[in-house]
Amino acid sequence: MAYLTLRKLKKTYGATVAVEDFDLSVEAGEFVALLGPSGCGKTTTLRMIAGFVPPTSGEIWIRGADVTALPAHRRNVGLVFQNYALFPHMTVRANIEFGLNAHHVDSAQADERVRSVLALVGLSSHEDRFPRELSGGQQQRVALARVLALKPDLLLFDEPLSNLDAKLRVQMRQEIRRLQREVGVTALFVTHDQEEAMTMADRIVVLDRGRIAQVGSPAEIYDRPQTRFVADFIGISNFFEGAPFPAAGRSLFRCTSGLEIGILPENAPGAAGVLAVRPEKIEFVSADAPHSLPGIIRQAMQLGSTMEYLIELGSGDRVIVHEQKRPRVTIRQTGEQVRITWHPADSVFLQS
Amino acid sequence: MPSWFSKPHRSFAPWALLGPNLLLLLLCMAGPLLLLARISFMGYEAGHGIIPAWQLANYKKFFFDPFYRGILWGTLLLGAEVTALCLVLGFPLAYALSRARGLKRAVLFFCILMPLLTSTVVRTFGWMILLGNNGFINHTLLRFHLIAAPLRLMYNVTGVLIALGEVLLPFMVLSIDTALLNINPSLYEAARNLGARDTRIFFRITLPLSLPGIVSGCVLVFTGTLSAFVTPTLIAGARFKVMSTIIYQQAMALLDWPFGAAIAFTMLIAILILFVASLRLTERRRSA
Repeated sequence: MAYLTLRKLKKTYGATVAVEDFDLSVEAGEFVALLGPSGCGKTTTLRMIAGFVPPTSGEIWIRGADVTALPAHRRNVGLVFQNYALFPHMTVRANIEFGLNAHHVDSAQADERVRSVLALVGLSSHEDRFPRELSGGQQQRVALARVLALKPDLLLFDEPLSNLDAKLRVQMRQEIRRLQREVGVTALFVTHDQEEAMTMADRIVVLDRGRIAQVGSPAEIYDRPQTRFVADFIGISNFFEGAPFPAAGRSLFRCTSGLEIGILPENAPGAAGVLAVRPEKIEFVSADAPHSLPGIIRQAMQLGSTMEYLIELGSGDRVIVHEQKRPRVTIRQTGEQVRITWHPADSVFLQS
Repeated sequence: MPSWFSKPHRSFAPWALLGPNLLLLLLCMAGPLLLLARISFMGYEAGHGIIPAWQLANYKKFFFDPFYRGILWGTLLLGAEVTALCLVLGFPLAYALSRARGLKRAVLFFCILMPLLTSTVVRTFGWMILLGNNGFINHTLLRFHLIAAPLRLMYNVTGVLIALGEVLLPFMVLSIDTALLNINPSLYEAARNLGARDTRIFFRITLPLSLPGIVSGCVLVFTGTLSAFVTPTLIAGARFKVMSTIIYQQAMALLDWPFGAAIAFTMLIAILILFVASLRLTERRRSA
């Protein structure tokens, strides 16, 4: 059995469904991100696991034990809050000791644990400070140290980086991942920031309106989205709506706009759907390339290391193309006539 | 051009806004108080009135006469008792109020404010009807044979305690309610997540974080008790005297203004000491 198992978890508030059909297995030591837009049910799920929200139905199993009915203070699940929730009237040391005292850890051992977690997060010299005397990043570390001191079965993060400034946020991503690996604790990380999920998680659970849209590694989620929602929510995708139809020798994809695309992934079935292509998978080719699509550059935008082109095809479809700025690659101008193509394996067919 | 004119929002505007209020306070409060302070150091002779000679006789009389010293302690003790009563009754009420939402909170809020919506005299007469020897409470208890003789609820400390506790309770409740509402709710969840039960959360999180509200509520109730006049006069009558009744008696009945002023100033200083002490207590917690 998996380390953490969620079975048919469901939460409704009156007529509104917050979470439904939530099935998930997490292995020991895994770092899993729950990713989705606000209101998708990711925080509700986390709060159900922490014991703050009773599920309407379904089960939560941690280390082979059913904890669904267990009150929050008996779950041994560490939660790092978005606002850190440090006790403002207690020093860093007292904040950490609070949980140890609640668990009746004897004082010699508690002392040792406080010392070791403070060393772990690099705040040994700050144990007598009050939370308000610490920076956002330091408060974050104390919040983490406070739950790690209890040696939790499971670590839960509720958007812990959203209150930090951009640079610190990137730094803390690595820091949290380093600590989680060092301690070897299993972690669930709620975020609406896809970059955060991509860079930190072993596996990502994408949520859409209370349901799991897709579970997979960051690469799977990005390269092989299974629904239009995932393809749209993670990164940028170009979508072509239409249906494949057989033509002389090989199949074509005919869009509702009238555009015909000859580049199709192998798995494309006969039914109507959406063809999704990532902007960086599209390349510019010369006029004689087979199955290439002609268009005009309507907009050329600087994205730093990359150029973003908005291309209008003859059919009126608009396509976004990302091209790396590299030596000997000239930057294209608005109004330029171009032809674009992509490798069949780089497009994904999604049932609509 | 003078600098205060070129930067009006910097130096001029605050004073202009404070001005009328400051002027009013100076004229109507600081002025009379200074006059009163001066009078408290003057002499008095029956038939002659105030004798303009500086002396400490009034203060000496107040602090060395056992009768007046007894009233000083009695008043301070009453203040402490009313404060304790309001704290014990007020904290659970404030806790319930801070947890209530929407209509429930509005109704509860109104009920708590009710004592302040009635005039002091009317409210005190109401208490007299209830507390008297033939009052509603004694009458009912006697009728159901729960007591053999009427309880003494009027003309003693008990009555004053009940009546003052009722009217000053809202100050305690509202102060604590504000402090409780200022506690970030995620702190409770964090404490629970760290394995704490309700009692630990209450004594380690709720109580210490609501301390500023408890202190300010206590100061309000204590000073309210010390300066109360109508309620102790009507309910305690001549049997139980407090400082405010003595001040009134000295100044209005005996026309001994200097002695009345000296008692008034002693009371003012007592309140001031308490106020500064409580302020420092909460300030230290904040800067600690």
